Amino acid sequence: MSDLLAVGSAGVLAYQAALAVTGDNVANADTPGYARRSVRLETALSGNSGILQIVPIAGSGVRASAMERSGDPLKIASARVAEGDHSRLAARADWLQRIETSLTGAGLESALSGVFDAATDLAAAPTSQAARTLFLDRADSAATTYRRLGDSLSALAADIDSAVATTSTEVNAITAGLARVNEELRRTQAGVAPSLGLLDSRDSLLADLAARVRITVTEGTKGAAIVRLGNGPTGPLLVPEFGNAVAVEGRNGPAGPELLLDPTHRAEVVRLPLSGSMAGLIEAGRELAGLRTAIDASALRFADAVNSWHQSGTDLRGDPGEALFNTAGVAISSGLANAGSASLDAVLADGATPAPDGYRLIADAGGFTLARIDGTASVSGAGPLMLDGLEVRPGAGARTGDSWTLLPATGASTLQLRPLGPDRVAAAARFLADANPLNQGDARITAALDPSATAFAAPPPLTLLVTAPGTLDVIDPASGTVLASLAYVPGLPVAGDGFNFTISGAAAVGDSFRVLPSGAGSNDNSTMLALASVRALANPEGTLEASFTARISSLGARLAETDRLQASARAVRDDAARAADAVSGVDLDREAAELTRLQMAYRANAQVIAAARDMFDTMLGVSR
Amino acid sequence: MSLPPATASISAINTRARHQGQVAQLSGLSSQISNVRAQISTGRRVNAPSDDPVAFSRAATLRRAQASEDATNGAIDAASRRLRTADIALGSALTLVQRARELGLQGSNATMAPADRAVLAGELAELLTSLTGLAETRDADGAPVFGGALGSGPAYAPDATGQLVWQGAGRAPRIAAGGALVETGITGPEAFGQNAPPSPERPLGSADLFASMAGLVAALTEPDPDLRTAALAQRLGEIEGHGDRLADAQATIGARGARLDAEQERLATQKLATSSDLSRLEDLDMASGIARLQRLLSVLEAAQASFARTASQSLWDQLR
Repeated sequence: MSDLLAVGSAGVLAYQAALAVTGDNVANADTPGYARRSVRLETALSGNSGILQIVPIAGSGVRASAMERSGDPLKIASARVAEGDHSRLAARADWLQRIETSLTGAGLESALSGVFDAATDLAAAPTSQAARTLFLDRADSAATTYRRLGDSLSALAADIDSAVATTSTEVNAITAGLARVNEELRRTQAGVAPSLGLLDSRDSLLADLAARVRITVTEGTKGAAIVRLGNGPTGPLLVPEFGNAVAVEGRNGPAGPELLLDPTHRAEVVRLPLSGSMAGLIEAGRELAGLRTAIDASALRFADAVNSWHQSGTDLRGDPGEALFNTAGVAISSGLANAGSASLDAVLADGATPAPDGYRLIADAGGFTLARIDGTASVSGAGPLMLDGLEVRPGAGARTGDSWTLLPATGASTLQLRPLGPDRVAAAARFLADANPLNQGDARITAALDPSATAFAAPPPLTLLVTAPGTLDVIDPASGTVLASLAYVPGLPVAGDGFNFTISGAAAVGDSFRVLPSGAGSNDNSTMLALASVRALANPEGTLEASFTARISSLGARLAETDRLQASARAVRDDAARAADAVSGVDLDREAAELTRLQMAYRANAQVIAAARDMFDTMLGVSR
Repeated sequence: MSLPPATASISAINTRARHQGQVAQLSGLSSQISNVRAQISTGRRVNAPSDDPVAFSRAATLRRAQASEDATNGAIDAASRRLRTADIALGSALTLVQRARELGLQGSNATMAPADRAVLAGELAELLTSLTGLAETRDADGAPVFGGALGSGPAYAPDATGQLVWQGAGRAPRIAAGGALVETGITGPEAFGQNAPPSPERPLGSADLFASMAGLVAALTEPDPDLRTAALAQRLGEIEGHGDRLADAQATIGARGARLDAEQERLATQKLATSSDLSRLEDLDMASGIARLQRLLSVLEAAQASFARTASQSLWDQLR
């Protein structure tokens, strides 16, 4: 009878525990990372279970032996991987989207075609001040657009770098947390509530980590997590079973952002498998680095092509055309140990060439010292400093010992229209040539700039008189003296001093031609017309404008592909998460059914106690 | 991590996952709707390169072509204006030259009194002044029309002997039209002829319009009848040649203008074709866009209703 009472009370206790766990499940139905728990019931052994008592004797009731977490480790691992894959694509899509917005929002294409279209207008009215001003304005807007695009891309690159840094800080925090959880798990008894809570937080930390980098997890004693970076059991160890986690650090490498393992001890660059938001960030960063290189190259190509084109012409003053764009500039980087908050503004004067090694600015007691890095020159002072045409204006807030490095840079960010007036636009060709209208033959003449030509020393103006078929005299028109007698072949250029001329078609003996420098105020537009051929100039990537469009399109294609991959990765992630959750998550309906069942069992056990009491009462009644 | 309990079945699904799945479906539908709505409100299917990279790059090329066609159109307008100015000046010069010829023929009449010839000579001198003025005609930017590549200053100026000499050089500015370069004017010597001393190739030398006119004036005032007759005959012959040259020059200018007009016409047609290409590439088919929006909206409504019904079902309601 006392047995029956013991059986009943054991049952009541066991089901009480089970009911408490069910209540816990219901309460945590919406807690992220909570795995459904259940109580394993087993038959309580009677007797003292000594070494001689081999066969357990049933009949001592039930006991709650241990609490269990439901969960399928394989499903949880595949959900982690799917989450990482999706995070990678989501991060990549997010940043590519921003890059695309910067690229299309800059309006570089319309700025470039604006320059060429303004040249068409100017060619129709070569001496018009309005058309010249408009042309310079468009050229300025193209340079500004390049600068703005270069600046916005470099701001994006800085953003990506700081996102990489933040993500690696998060990774370090998570791995440190995992190392602590491992330690706690070792100290805690398995199968009790605190240990299950630790396992829950272990799993959610692992899920957080896998969303950032691809990891491989193996389980040590008492559920300690051993985490390796990358795919498979050979990757570098991030969280060991015993001891501290290994830190990671993001940094800006030569080809864009990269990840360093164990930066303080034996720093090594790790190649990340393509999973996790860190991988997505690094991919976007590399894409951006390549794009910036291409934009810088495009800016230089534009500036070089336009400059050399413009230098072949003559401006309205009759002077040779000058370069339109300045490409030299300096890039400022602050010293890593700067304590102050001073900002720096550096302007390179028009036409100045910075020293190839660059400059260093150091804040000292007396103000600032700007010195060439090769040590050949320096200036000191409190205010704006000037060296080699480089003017540096330090802002307020510098501390003694702060330093900045200024390196020569060229690219989109440094492209600038030089300060030129409208009459300095070189629309005319350097040389003009015409045929005497009284010529009997129908030969035509063209003259072109040819800096390498040094055949005879006299510069234009010159008169050419055909003295015999295939022979002409070069005559100084002012004095009438014959300077040279030359043979020529119709259609082939004849070299002069810095120029050449071509007589094509049949010339009669006695025909004369003139070669003249285009003087001030020339209405000629040959140079402006030649800009069309600069526009059509194609390198292997196509013309300037086409190669930029191709860049944008290929980025767009990459983004579209990323979006598609992200959509399918999301579906995979949702499926995997659902499959894992189906095992480990809480279903309220199921808990309701469980509750009803356990309540009934509890009540039945209480009835057993009541029955035992009745039996006691009966026995006591008999003896009375 | 313990092994899964044997009771767990694959089809089991928990409350949170089910809830999140349904919410994700609803928000997916909402984002599709907002995409379609954005396309409908802008009227464009391609708003960013990633919407359709191929169409985007085609459209960029077309837009570039469109802008450069617009610029060429404007340039042709300016060039046509200059050609018209030159045409009008040449037409007036031709009228003046015909009048000069009539006056010269009148003066050739041997019975005419010297005083009357002096009157004719006076009128011819006036005509010469008008012709000199016409030769200085400027375009809208102030450049002499007959100056070739000369951008400023007079096209003709008297030299030490008082004879007018062309100051220009080269040829008139050219304009790219339909792959070829068209000169937007005609040089002074092409319109008015050129002075040249007698040479082995040309025994008589050559005189421009202004020299011939001055010569005609001088011939009319020549007292000796024989010399006068010879000079008048020579000058009248020259003037006739100048008339022919002016008519030729006008025809040349007309032909150049016609080429520019034809190019402008081609540009107008091309512009229509380009815009219709652009619209095919970038624009949204409104009917199908709106139909798609309707379909998505009704799916969203049904999904919301079914979510509301299934989420409200619970065993807990049945527990008393």
